[in-house]
Amino acid sequence: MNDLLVMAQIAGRRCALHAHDVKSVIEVGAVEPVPRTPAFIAGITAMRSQALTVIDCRLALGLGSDGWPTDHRAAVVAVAGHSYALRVDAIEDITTGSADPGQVPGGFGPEWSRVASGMIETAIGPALLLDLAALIAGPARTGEPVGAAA
Amino acid sequence: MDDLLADFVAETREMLEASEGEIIAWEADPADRARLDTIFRFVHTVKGNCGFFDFPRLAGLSHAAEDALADCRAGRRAPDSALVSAVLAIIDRIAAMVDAIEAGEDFPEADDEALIAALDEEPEIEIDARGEDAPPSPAEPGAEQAGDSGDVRPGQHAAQRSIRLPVDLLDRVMSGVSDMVLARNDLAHRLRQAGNQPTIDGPFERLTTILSDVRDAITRMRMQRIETLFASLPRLVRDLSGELGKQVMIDLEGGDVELDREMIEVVRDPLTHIIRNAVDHGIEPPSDRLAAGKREIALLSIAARQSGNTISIVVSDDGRGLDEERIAAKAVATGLVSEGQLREMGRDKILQLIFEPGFSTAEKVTGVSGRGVGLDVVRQNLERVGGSIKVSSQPGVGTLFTLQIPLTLSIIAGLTVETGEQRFAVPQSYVEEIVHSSAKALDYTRMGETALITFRGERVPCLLLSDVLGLEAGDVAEGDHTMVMLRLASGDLFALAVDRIHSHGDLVVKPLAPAVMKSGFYAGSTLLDDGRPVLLLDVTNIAGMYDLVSDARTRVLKAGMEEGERAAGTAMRAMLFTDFAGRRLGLRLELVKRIETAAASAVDRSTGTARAVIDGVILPLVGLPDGPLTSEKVRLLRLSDGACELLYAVAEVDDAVELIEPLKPVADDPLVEAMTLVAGRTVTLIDGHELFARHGEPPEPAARPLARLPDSEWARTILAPLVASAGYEIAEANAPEDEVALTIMFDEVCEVAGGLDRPVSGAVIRLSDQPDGTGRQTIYRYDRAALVEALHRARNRGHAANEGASA
Repeated sequence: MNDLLVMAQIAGRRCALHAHDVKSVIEVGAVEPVPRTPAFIAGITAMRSQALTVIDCRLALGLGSDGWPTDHRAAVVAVAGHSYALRVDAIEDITTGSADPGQVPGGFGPEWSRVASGMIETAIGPALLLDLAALIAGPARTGEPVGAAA
Repeated sequence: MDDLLADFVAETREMLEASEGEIIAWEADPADRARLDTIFRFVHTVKGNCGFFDFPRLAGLSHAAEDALADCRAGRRAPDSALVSAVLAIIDRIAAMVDAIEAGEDFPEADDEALIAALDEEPEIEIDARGEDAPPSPAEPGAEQAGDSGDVRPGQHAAQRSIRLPVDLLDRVMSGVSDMVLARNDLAHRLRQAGNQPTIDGPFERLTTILSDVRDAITRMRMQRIETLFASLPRLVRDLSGELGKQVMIDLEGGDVELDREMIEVVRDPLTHIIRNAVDHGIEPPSDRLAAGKREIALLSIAARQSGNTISIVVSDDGRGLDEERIAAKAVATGLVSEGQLREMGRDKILQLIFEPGFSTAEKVTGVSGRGVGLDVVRQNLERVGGSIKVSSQPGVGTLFTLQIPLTLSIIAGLTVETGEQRFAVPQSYVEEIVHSSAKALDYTRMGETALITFRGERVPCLLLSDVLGLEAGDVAEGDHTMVMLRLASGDLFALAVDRIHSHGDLVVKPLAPAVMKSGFYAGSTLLDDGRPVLLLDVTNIAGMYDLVSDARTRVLKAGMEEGERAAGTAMRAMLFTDFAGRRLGLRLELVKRIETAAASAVDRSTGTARAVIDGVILPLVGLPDGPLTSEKVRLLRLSDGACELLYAVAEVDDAVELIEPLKPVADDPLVEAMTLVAGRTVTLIDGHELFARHGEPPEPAARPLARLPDSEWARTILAPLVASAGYEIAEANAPEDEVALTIMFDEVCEVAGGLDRPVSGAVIRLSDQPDGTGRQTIYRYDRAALVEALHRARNRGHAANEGASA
């Protein structure tokens, strides 16, 4: 498998996204927060005439976003007809994967295992290949209670 | 041509087109199972469709082909080339017949039997379906319907030129137009920033008009008559009532109401469900109906109406009605509500419980309803698209379901509001009114956690948007918010308190990611003129979260009535408007008699003071722009001080507000009484006294009083215009004496007339030839000021005045 991969740092770990899932990498402008939604939804932003949902990948993993730098660029991906901008520590490079994704004994830890399709060897070293749909679904415990009724 | 028939022709053509390749491939490889299936489906569908119409030959042909192909599919027969050509011959013949049907011609007698016989095993004959008797070369399946009208065949109607398009393509065009609207909005924003540029504004206006036309057309392209949905209902009701041993007559109304194609699909299931419910549970068996003194045949009526940008569909039956007791008992049993809550609820609210999840009163599950899909799903589906449903019912008389659905999903008029630095959009259709006011004027109170305001003497629940969304409160003090009064489809009113209104306009609504939708607060997102994305609030859902939908309202409302009345009339009120120079001005509300809209042609600007005719009365008009009026209509405030009236032309009437902030007097402009703040913005309050002192006049009837002038060239050419400008009509020489309101005559003539004892009706102004006539009660004929004054005085006093009557 010689797929092109977009390499990114998420919560200090090297991750890979299939390049054909990534529509573009954009400079993120102003992000309008979306109140009353889970924290991993950072807000919405505009790309041309389209609104993107900005996902903070660190929070979507269920990790804190503190202590990590945030790239001013974001990867735009489309999942089930909706476009998302993924906010990560840093977008590093585009490279090729050199093998099929594989598992490692002991797994990647609960948060990572949920979103990872496996480990992939790339030209710049091993990385965790991410499953976008799982990443965008957010952490299993779906945030704070929604809908504070009177 | 009949619509159904046109559909049939179009569909058959489409399938021919699609299966053409298959047919050819099948010819090459008769054993190919997938091809065989495709062709089988085609002839099967044609056969099925023929059942609706009287096409025995078409039915016979397709039936024969279907039989032969079914044998192949079942393995009873191996397809060989003879069979393939026989089937292809039939398909060609079908194409030829369809062409003839569309043209409205009789298809020439042809040897169908031979074609059918060719299907039989071991046929010897090969038949060319395009034989002598078939019309030449009909099987151009790609032949487009619209293009066909080029060669007009006799008897062919000028059929409506229509083409079939994939919905995808329409959607692409639609979203293209949506993007164009966004680009236009962006451009508009920049143009506003750049200031007035007449050379650009004109074309830009045109662009705007064209764009809105195109948008309308595109929206209509996506529209479909609700008839398409209604068409299947009579059959549904017939089958259901047969199955259940009931007799039901269906009455459909408003089939010509048009609805977004997607909306029709959204409504289809809920509507079917409600009809099933009505026939199954609502309508009694004939024997019960007779016993109850009703007609044996029940009536189920379904009516669609469009009002504004919503469609309401009302499904009503004359059955037994909803059983409040049973619904209540069931709701308590399933734990939906407690006994205590139930006692608080009115009948209306109890009935709405049937839309709650897990609710079904049917004791036994019948084959018709009660398949696990409850009315809760119906409500959910409707609410997802911004619709609503409610039920009302009279025991023994019937049940009435009202479905409200928005006309379209994609472009809506909306209001952008701001709270705590963030903007949100609200669909305009919910907005009843916007109230800028203060806590005092609105009687803002906190009752426990709930806030209430008094609006037009009603207590209305008030939600702080910042609370709803859990945002930091903005810089506006609690209660001093701008209130957006929202009216839900259910008729409930509530106030949404926001920091300020930002703008309003057309919003192109785009769907949001599922994770965001799930919160239930938002219905979509849209981009503002400046490209900022904003969230569209899901008003119905938010109101639902706070339990503002129905009933709870009525109780509070009644209690608040009297207090509300007391609160009214304490603060000073003013009418806010924007004048043609773009200034925000205010006038004391007591001065404003009416808001008039006049055609630009009613405005007369030929003299120093502009005037306009309103209701047959000429009134002075102020506030016009310097240049010519650009619009055909002009909005006028009709002001009155009790006796005098005048008109104030305004660019836009904003609102009537209460003036709470202190008035700050302005010294340098006598026309300005004071400056004050309304909703954080300055408003210039116009000085009514000065305005009337300068321009006020008693209303002047358009029918002017008559004035008789001296009979001389001087009077006709020099005096007459002056008299006319003072509001008189010049009397003809033969005008009856008693209609003349004013007589102007030279002093000496007057004396003669007096001497002759001739009657002089109305007021009299005496003129003298000599400028030195100060002592006498005459006016020198070139003393313009005195003359004008005398004319005015005569008019004002009417008959009572008699200038210089000192004979």
